[in-house]
Amino acid sequence: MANHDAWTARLSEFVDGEMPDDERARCEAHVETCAECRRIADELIRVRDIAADLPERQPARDLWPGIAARIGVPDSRVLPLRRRWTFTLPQLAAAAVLLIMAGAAGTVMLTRTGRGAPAASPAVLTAAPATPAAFAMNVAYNDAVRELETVLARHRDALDTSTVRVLDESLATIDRAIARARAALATDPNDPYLNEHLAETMRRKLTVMRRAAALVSAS
Amino acid sequence: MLAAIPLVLATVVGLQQRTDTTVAVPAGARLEVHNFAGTVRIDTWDRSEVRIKADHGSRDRVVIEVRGGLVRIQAERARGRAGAIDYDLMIPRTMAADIEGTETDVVVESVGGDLRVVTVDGDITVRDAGAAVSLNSVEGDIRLNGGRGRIDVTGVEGGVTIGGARGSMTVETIEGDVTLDGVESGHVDVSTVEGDIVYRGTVQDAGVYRLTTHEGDVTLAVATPLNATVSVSTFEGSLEAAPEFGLTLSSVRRGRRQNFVVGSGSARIELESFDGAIRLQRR
Repeated sequence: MANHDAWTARLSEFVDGEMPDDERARCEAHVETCAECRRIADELIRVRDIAADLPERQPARDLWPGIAARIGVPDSRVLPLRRRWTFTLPQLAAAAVLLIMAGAAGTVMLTRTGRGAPAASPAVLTAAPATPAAFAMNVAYNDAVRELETVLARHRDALDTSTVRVLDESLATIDRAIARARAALATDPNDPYLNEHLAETMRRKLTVMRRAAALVSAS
Repeated sequence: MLAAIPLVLATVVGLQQRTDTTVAVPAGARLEVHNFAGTVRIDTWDRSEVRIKADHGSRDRVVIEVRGGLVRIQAERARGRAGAIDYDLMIPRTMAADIEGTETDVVVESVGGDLRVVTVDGDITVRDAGAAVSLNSVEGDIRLNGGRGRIDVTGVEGGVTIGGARGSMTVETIEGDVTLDGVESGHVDVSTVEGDIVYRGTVQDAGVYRLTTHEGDVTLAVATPLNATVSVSTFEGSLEAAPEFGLTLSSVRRGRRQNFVVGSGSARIELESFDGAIRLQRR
């Protein structure tokens, strides 16, 4: 079991090809026989590949200045763009949410500019510092949610009142689930299931908000 | 004076009219229907024609456009949005269909082409879908009976019921229950926040089955012998497994995720409920 946990914690190195050859062979042997590690490795590869496909350009909306101000770090450093994405296990879950956010930003722009207008570059954290990645992702997620909330609040009259009620109730349900997952995670921050469950529930909230924004834009 | 009364009534209540027309369509054509309120019923036949029957108010006009491989049906009114319209359509058996509505119920039978339905406040019922199916309703219930292609279902408040389907399927709701009955699929991914999930079907070797909820219960009822690696995750929920499965615990991760191997372990089953009951039952 201890061996399993040790390999699980190093799957990011394994996927990035940064493991010494002898360890890599042993890790590969473990992954081949461990369904859970295989699934996590598959997810890591998927996130890595999607991240690698992101455009090589500065984000239209750099989230770092806001993050830096909030955590008291001077925004004077110049960080090179990094194309290699390395995640710890809890960060993997947050990364999955981050990738969904690209779509959320696109939806906001679609609603602002009208149908058919080209969406702006999504808000991605390619220029954000490597640490604290999880915090940055959380801030970026909250920004995306706030943007969508603003759009929906501004245009909620475009929707039928019963639809608004259903969406409000569903978002409240999701918020309760997020709160419970966060509370559980506070007691066990490194638990893979709790991390994944929180990320999945956060992703679901963004998905519902994007659908609501799409309904508004179609009305 | 008397002669003016029918005209006044027509203006006030919007007298009902029926449009009934048939248009020829080329092979491989696609249908698009936009309907704000009412119903859309679609059935198929072996002709290269689309028949459109629509009951609508006298102030509304049904507009049918045939342009290349696209047949587009929608209604218009001189001023404002068209009222409730009930469509009854016959389309070629292999035609793909794309239906969008707001307060619209949709019923589709035996469509052999790709099918996409989006409605806000309406139920969706589909029987015997022959290709890929994408069904999406915010407030309504979604029912699919028989599907051979890929199935994507997204709901919010309503329940989802799928029976006798064979394609790969992804189902996502927030508050609704999800019931999959008589399913024979190698890929099933169901998630909800508050709803219960029930899966009664087969588990294929090398298949992947993922059933996740936050507050609801998860029930997987399958035949024995079962060959699967079963991952069970919960925070405050419980696991109840029929003894016939002979679950062999292979690993435990701090009590949140437990992995079991049943038989050869070839299929992958993931069952998750944050605080509901997880049941593995013999079918």
